[in-house]
Amino acid sequence: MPEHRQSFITKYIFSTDHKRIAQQYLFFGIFFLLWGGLQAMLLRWQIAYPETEVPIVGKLLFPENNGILTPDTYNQVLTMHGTVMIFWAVTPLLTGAFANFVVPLQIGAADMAFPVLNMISFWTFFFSGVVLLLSHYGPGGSAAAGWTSYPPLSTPVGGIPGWGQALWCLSLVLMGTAVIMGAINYITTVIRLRAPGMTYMRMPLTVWGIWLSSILNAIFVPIIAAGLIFLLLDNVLGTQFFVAGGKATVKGGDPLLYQHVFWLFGHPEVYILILPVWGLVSDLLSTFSRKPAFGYRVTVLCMGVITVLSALVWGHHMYVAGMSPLLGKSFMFLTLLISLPTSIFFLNWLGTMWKGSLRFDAPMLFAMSVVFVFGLGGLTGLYMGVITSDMYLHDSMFLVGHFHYTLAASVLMGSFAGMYYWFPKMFGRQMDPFWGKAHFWITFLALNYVFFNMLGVGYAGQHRRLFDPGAYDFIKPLMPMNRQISTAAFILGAAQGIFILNFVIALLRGPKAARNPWESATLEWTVDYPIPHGNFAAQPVVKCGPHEYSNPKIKGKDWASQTEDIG
Amino acid sequence: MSVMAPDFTELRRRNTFSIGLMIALSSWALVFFTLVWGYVVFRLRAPSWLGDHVTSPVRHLVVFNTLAMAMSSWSLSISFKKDVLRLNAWAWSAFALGLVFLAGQFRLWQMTMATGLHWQSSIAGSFFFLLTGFHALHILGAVAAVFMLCLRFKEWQGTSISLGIKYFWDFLFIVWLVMFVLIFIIQ
Repeated sequence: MPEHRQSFITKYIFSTDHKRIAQQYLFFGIFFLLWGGLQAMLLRWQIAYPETEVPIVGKLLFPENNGILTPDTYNQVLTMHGTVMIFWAVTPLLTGAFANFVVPLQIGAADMAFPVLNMISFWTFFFSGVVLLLSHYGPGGSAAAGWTSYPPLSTPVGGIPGWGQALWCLSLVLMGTAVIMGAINYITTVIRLRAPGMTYMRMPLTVWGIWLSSILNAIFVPIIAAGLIFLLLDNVLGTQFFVAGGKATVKGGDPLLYQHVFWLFGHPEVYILILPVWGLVSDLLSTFSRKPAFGYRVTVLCMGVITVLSALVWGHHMYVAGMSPLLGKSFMFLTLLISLPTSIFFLNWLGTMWKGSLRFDAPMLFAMSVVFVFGLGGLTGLYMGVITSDMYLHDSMFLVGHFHYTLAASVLMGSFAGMYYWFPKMFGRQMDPFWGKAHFWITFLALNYVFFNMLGVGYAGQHRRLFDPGAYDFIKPLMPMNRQISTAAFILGAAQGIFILNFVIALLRGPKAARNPWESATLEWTVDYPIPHGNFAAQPVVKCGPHEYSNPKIKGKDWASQTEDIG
Repeated sequence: MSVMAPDFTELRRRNTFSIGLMIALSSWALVFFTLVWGYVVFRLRAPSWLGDHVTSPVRHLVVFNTLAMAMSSWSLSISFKKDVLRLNAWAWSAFALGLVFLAGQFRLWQMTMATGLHWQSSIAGSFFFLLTGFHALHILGAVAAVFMLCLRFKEWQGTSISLGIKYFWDFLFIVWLVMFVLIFIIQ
């Protein structure tokens, strides 16, 4: 790789280096994670102590209402919390930061297949975030129809006035464009730029997860983009796509079409987020158990099967919207079918840890917690997948608890696992292990207290999205539990301060990290920090699989890098 | 006599580009597919669709536009030989025919709006203007790209970017053919 001079701008701002772009995505994602988290705190404050002044930030955020959340603002915060967390916090962390950093390094490539496209992708993403944040300041404030933005609530006809919804659509279309550009890069990079010897069946499971998730992105993000174009035009130009007008007439459209388009994308989106986490958790469990990943090929197969099935189950989000019983039962059958590969997957994780020499470092603790919280999320998913129980539980806090276990808890814990794990390679320094573990335990306990009790109050009948649940007589007995959930949520939020402090202090003056602090076998640990533009001094040649731990043929240590020949 | 080694790195680079381009076009096709899917759902349920708005002159104009687009796509394809851009004149003709198509589409909107069709008036109108308009926006971008291709003919000869523009142009022609059949042929 020839040396070339870079100005400040090409090195730090419009960089085409995948490692730099990964760092940009990381900071971007963490910013929105905190922003979305703050919104969650506001919601929990309103539910626990309705219409009282929000402490600390209330006066700052809502000066016109003496720091009190109004119903309109509540709807906006609720909408933006979901939108921000899914699309601007978790997506940039997983399919932005980790995917960018890890994919070329783990497959032994010099960079992405299309570095310039990669840079454009980040800045499109950045711009979309700016549009989303600015929507707070437009006439009428930000979008307020929930993160799913069902019409007619999200259209001017019988909906919420203002620019918020249109800007919401616009920012999501931009975000989707950025994600598709990223997906094009990841898919092509994995197909074309694997190092010699890096066969598909020698790829780390992280790369498998990101690759499959990118395929889903390339297929399903365009579908929601089309749906958002419909919605945007209904809002801006007054078209009739989602304006209910009776199915038999030519005059009007149909709001139900939006739900189909939204969930045709929305369900795969769950897997788009969870597949990279599954991959990295599988790798981490193997590394920190000092054992090869149990049933590697079966795990890959299950991931593939789940990828395909994820496209065929969107109707289970719409049981209560009304559909033919035959269609409903088909969706139910396909939904429950997903639990088969998932269970096998789960057993493989347990098999990996079984009788291993477990090392309880912070990344391992977070990875193990993913197994736990995802297990709970999956089990509660069965209730939502079966039509009869879904009829009762849909639109209750049980649903909120369920998808926070699957989406928020597992994806967030998985992201933390990845951040603690790759931090030494990304920044050349080590985060403090004690505070890493402290962060883990407080987060893990508080998070479970929050989401498990959400399942409880939901099962007892509390609806979701209520501005003031205590106003209803039948929910009044649940209010003490709601206040407990809120307290736990505040502890959960405060615990992230530990992470931020640990992160910033390590970044500024943490101890220098060794080349391979976790004694990991994959390729990114064979290069020294700072990794130069072009990654590897010489083309690495891969000679074994990604999980060569405790192989009796290896002498003197319990692991072998993928470049070592173990015969 | 020395034999020149084939340039494998350049070939590899172009293959990589082709894979990326195919994924991009597939994603793009899915945007159009979803829009058309919505169209089909509504169209199948409606007792009547555009009806009187598609008059006989409108039909003639649409056929003319389709021919212009087909000839444009064809002339761009014969300006390439073995994936290398060669004949500049054919590229210019593709550009000119692209402009003719755009002008024709503009006239199409004028004529249909004169019959009272509007995107706010009915779901059929909404879809008519969305599908043709969204496609025309793409054509506008692609015509600009073909124009750049003509100007930078020498520089871009044999590069991936010239190939990309050609594929994108063909892609938009196919999208138009699908729309032509679904909107104007099947009545």
